Amino acid sequence: MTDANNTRQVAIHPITSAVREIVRIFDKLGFSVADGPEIETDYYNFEALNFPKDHPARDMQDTFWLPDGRVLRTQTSDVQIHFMEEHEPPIRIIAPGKVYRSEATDMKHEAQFYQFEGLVVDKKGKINLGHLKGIVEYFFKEFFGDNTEVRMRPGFFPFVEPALEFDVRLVGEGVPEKLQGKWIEVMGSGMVHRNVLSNAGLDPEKYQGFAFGTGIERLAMMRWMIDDIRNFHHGDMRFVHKFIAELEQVDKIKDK
Amino acid sequence: MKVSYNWLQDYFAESLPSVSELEQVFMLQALEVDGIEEVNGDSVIDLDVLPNRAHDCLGHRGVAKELSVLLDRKMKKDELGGSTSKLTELSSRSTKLSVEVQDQEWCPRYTGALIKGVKVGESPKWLREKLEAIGQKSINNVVDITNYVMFDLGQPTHIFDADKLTDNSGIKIAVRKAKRGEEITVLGGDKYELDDSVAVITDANNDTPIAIAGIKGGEVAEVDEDTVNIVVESAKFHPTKTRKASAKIKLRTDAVQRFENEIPIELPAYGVLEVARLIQEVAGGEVEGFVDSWQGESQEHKVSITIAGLNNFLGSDITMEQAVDIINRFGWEHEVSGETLIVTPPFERLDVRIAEDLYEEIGRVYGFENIKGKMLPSPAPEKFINKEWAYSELVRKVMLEEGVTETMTYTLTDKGDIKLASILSADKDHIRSNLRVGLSDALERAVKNAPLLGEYNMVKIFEIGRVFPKGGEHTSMAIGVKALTKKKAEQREQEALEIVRKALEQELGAKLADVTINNGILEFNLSDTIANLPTPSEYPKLPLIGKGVKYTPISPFPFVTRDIAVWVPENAQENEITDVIYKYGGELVQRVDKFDEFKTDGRVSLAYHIVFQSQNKTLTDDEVGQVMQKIEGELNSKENFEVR
Repeated sequence: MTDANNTRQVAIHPITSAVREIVRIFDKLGFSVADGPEIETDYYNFEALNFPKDHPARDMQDTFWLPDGRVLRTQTSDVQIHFMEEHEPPIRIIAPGKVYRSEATDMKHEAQFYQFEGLVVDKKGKINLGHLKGIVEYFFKEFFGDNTEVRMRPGFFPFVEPALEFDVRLVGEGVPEKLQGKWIEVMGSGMVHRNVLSNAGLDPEKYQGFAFGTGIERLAMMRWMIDDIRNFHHGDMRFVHKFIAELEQVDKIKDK
Repeated sequence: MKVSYNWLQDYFAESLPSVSELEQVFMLQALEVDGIEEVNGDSVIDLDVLPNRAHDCLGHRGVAKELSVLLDRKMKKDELGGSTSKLTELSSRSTKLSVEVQDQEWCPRYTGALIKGVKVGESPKWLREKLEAIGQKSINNVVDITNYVMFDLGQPTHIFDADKLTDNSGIKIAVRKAKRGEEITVLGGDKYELDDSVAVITDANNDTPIAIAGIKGGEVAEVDEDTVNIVVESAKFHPTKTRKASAKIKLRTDAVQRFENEIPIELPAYGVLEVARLIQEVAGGEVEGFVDSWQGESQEHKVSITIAGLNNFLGSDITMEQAVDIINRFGWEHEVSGETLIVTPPFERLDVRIAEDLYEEIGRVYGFENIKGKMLPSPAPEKFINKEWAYSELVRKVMLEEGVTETMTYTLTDKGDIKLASILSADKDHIRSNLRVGLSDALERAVKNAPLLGEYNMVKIFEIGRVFPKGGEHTSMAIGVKALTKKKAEQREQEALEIVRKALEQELGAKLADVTINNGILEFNLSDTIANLPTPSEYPKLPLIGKGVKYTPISPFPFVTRDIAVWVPENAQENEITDVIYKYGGELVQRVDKFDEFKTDGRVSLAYHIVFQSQNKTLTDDEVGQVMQKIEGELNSKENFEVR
């Protein structure tokens, strides 16, 4: 009597699996992982990112405030500033992490979710918008497969100029009907605003950069056709157990 | 911003492309389209106008201007374009109306007009239809014109009934900060108590507030059907002061949205002239004269770029000729000097101030789809390992080996050391100080669903996440276990936690920091545990979710478990049994977990737990029984198989 596989099934949380995969994809392109605090000052979450106090741009992100005036970070973009303050370019980082928005929850909205931010800074003339487009196209094809189309269009985020939105569209065989051929907004990006470079202590006459960011749950929902974002943080093990990893990989770990 | 297709069409001699073609143009080159609806033969496009374009695109004229550039078509009219000679009309000053701005910062410009002899009545059809298409109610011809001008040019304006203002050898309007406790009843009847964070427009002859500056008009000088003489207001109010005032008194209006995003200092003059012109057209009357508080002069903002700078930024091959052609489509003043292009954007484009702004304008008209994606240049900067991610992965590896499954719970909760100042709901008004409270709840629910998780002996789960106790934020890890059978439950749980703890300490080569053990949950401070450890040289290679995984939503219906034990020949394959189970159980079979196997007399006994559950109903014992009968029947019919 033999077991066909001689393996064990394990469940992996989809956010962990997605972050792990994102880190690997970007590692191949020379990106390192950076992180930052989830409780953030107004300065790092907003002001340094070119969101002036009392500016309507702040309405774009409903914010949880602490009594002392700090915030639960609304975006992983705060890591940009922390990192640039401490490192000289060239910079190539991604920063996955949890962020918070004070908005009513439903199937598509959650008060806490994961994002990852990408940041590339180099001497002026070495990198440009074409590289941003190239990197983003590469990432989505790696993550969703070769049958992924990507388009870039104007957007607005105060910390980049110009700001760009990326949409992806999955085409061809094996794409669920709900997604087939539809453009879906997945990523905000742009060339780092000169004020942001200056705020982080870099000379905008000397350096140029781009940044991009996306919600990890949204990518996971497209990847696995998950209908309700609230599943991710609900602590319901029935959800995690839907996501099974190949067991022989586990044995390899044990052998190491 | 709701935009009417017919309204946009007024700006062009030729027919516009179809609404779906416009949607494409807006989406790819200008502004996001949130939706399109048909309203009485018009198409209404909901454009997401964000702060960068709120100075010029919160009105149809600005949106039409965008189309003229992107479609490369001339506009047949443009109230803001062309020569400024029409503004000279403003210098025909009123002898009966004056304005005194007491706070220049609050109100950098106040223009007005006195119009005599209007006839208030119903609006003409064209006006009603335009406003109704974008969801505005028609009130009367005079008020409708102010709304029309706001949704056309982006300039909020207001009309006062001149005969309701005090005439003391002339009408005098003033702009000042409100006094603490000062009250005003606005249009619609709501009363507001003000303070000095708010500004008011007053009837200066008796110092009575007649409007909340930049927010809403007052009832006291409201236009009604008997109104004959009117005062028009078209002003600029300070963006953040207006925004804060609006937040303070909790009154948001379309006017606030425009002022808080900042309108150009030049715009009020165009607004007052356009309102005066249209009112005379639809309600008659005659302009007695204008007022204007602004003494300043328009500032030009030249933006200078080089073609090399442009292409280095966009990664494009745009020639000077192409760049100039694009600027010509905008109709912007410019000069070329060698490789340098100097552009003077028009006054309404407050968002075009630096080279990067101009790169964007040229880039989006050129078309971002024409920019080729490239990989980053080599060599990459030296890579480094993120210590927290490396160790988080390392402890996850231990958890995989020990059969402990990861979960994620809410940071926002009903208790913790830090209470939020702004809250969503009473059960989420704190941020967590530890993981164990959330994990304990997850553990309890996991126990109820244990068979669905394939667990019959013990449920083991963990979470890694940031916590926020008084001492500050750190990364914590908690492992929770719960025995599923009563026998020596507590002892088994303790042992299980001890095994996991040992495995972690061995892998990390360090003692866990700040360990607490409570009710089957072990929690420790992961940040402190790894603080003095060296940074690993690489990340552990952990598995990803399998390629073939297909997600089905969690069923809200109860599950049913059944066991089956079968004698099979020694050379049989396990899937000979499981295939039969899936054949008859179909989609109702959630899991099949083997729990027993032994050999005797050349035969093998195999035993399985089967979990049944439907996505759309509660299964009855009968239904499950029938499936089991079929499974047992087929297994018994196999040679040398026997269901026990």
